[in-house]
Amino acid sequence: MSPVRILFLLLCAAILGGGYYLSSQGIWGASAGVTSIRTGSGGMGGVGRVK
Amino acid sequence: MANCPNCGDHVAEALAAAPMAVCPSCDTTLYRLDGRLLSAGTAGEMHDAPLLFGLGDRIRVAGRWHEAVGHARFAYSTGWWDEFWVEDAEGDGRWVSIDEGDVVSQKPLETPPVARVPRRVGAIVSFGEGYRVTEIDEGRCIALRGRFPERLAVGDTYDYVNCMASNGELLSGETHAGETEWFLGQWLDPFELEIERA
Amino acid sequence: MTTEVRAINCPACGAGQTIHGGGRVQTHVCPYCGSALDALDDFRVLARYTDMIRPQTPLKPGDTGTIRGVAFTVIGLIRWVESYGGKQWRWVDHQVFSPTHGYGWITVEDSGHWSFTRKLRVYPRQWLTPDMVERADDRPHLWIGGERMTYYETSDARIDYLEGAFNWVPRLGDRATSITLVGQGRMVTISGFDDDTEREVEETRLLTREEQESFGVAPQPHGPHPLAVRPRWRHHGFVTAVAAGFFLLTALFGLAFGNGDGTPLAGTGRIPVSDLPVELEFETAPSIRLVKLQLYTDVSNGWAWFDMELEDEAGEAVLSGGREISYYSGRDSDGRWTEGSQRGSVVFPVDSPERYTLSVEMSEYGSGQASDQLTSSVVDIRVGGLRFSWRPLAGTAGVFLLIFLATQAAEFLRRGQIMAGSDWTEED
Repeated sequence: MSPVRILFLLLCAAILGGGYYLSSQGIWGASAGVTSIRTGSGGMGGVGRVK
Repeated sequence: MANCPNCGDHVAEALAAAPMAVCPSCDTTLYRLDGRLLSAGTAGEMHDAPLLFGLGDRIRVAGRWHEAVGHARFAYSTGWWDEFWVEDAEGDGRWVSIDEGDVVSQKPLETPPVARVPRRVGAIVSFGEGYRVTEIDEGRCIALRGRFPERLAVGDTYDYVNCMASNGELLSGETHAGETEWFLGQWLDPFELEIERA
Repeated sequence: MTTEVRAINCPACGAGQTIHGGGRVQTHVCPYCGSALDALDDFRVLARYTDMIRPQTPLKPGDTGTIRGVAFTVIGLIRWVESYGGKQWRWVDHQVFSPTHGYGWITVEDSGHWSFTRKLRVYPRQWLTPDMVERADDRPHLWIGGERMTYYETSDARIDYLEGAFNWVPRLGDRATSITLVGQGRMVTISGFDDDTEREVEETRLLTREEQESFGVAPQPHGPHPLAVRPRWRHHGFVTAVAAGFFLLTALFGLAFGNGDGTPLAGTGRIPVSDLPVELEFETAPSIRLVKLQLYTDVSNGWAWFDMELEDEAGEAVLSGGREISYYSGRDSDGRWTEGSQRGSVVFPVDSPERYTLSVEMSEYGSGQASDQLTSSVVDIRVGGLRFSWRPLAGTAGVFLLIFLATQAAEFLRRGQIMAGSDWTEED
């Protein structure tokens, strides 16, 4: 297999690995409308009414 | 150890052991009888002509490398064609005929068609799926080089009939001295044929 | 074969000329007087074509060049005319000959491209005829030599000029119908559509710059040609397959670790609204990253606002959030309608392991825009622990899908360029 193809496979594996890691860390998991009281922010948005 | 009965030169073992061969030194046709090499006349003039491959070259047919060990040339109505006897590493052989880019590889048929030799272009030979006669002509052997699995002689004439199946398979019948031999094979593409020069 | 180059005097006009081409030459057309001579019968005059106008072409019989490493000599010229819908196309085929590789054609195309055509000894089981093309709903294709060839055009052309030697017997005015299909870097033309005509398969490739220059003519392509379109990206198959594979893999990961409702940690069961606010205590296992709070209330034609607050073991508030649940239904001319849902959820990030207290309060409620009427009577609150967030995996799947679609789109556009000159039209 050509080096370009191996590189592409590795890149895909890295993207999948990265996605899996971020998922397992709960990144981008909180709903909008959730606020960290300690830091004043958090989740994906600010406080507010969210449907 | 064998020597040519005509010129006395040493004849290689492979040639001396063949049913028929041509002395490379004096172009005399040789054959073996009762352990002795006998001469059977001239092997003809093999005029130089551009050829897809030549004696000693190796070609890849049916997935196996074959060496061209015998070269016969036949004259027919519009010129001549060349027939090579090629053998693989195990000594299994086949004929490869070439004529202006038309290249055909054929092996003798062990169970030939039972029908009579057709005499008309377009006739159908009932063998396998059926073969349509595409060409009927006569060829005359004009030159021989190398070694062959059977006796051939310059001047011998052959009535031949070429027939083709719908899948491109080629059936040929060659009649010489009242005996007909049948051969079956395929087209080879001269552009795709792998050739290793000697 | 034959090596002799035959020199003759035309039996009709007496002009001396050379006949290039080997033993298969059947006809020679005198370039001076247009007499077609029988090469197999002592150059007897077969026909006489007067008033032929010689086409402008850069090649003449006797010119030589090298194609795929093989020396070829031009032996004859033939011009074809095709008329369709009031338009006419003309092109010149140059019959070429090599003693080792046989006969072929060099065609100078309208676009200035030069192509080389030769007979293939392949005999496909399936066949295509102009009738079949006419009846086909989808663009037809044919497998030739293990390659799927796609229909390009049907041609019905007539000979209007002949000169030199041919390995067949073309006659002025003869018509020939053929179908051309496109594959990878080559086109295949098939002919022989009735029982009486031999089926023929011919392959056409563009000459390379070096091959064309070997005939002493510099290439000057000035238009599009299906074979001049860049070849398929050599990694196309690999990249699409890998991207599709990783997309599926990511989707499987997503399903396997996907959110759902998480591991149950705490819940109230169905309780009257009057029991609010409630406090739920739970512990997060080490792998828990998120907590999903699910709310149900039987609100009907009204809304309710829930405030939530998360306190850690030390009693310190760490997170807060809110969620409105509204549900309306009714009936109008279109039938029954509903809007909103009696369920809702909120996801919090959490530390683990940790002991938390979650308090939920229904701080506001109402019916319609203005009223503060209570329309719900019960609530059900459940808390579940999640190990994964779905968004990064979805994003990853999106990246793979994008790679897949981009490669497919590039190939689709490339196919479009190849087929731009095809006579196939999709019917609705």
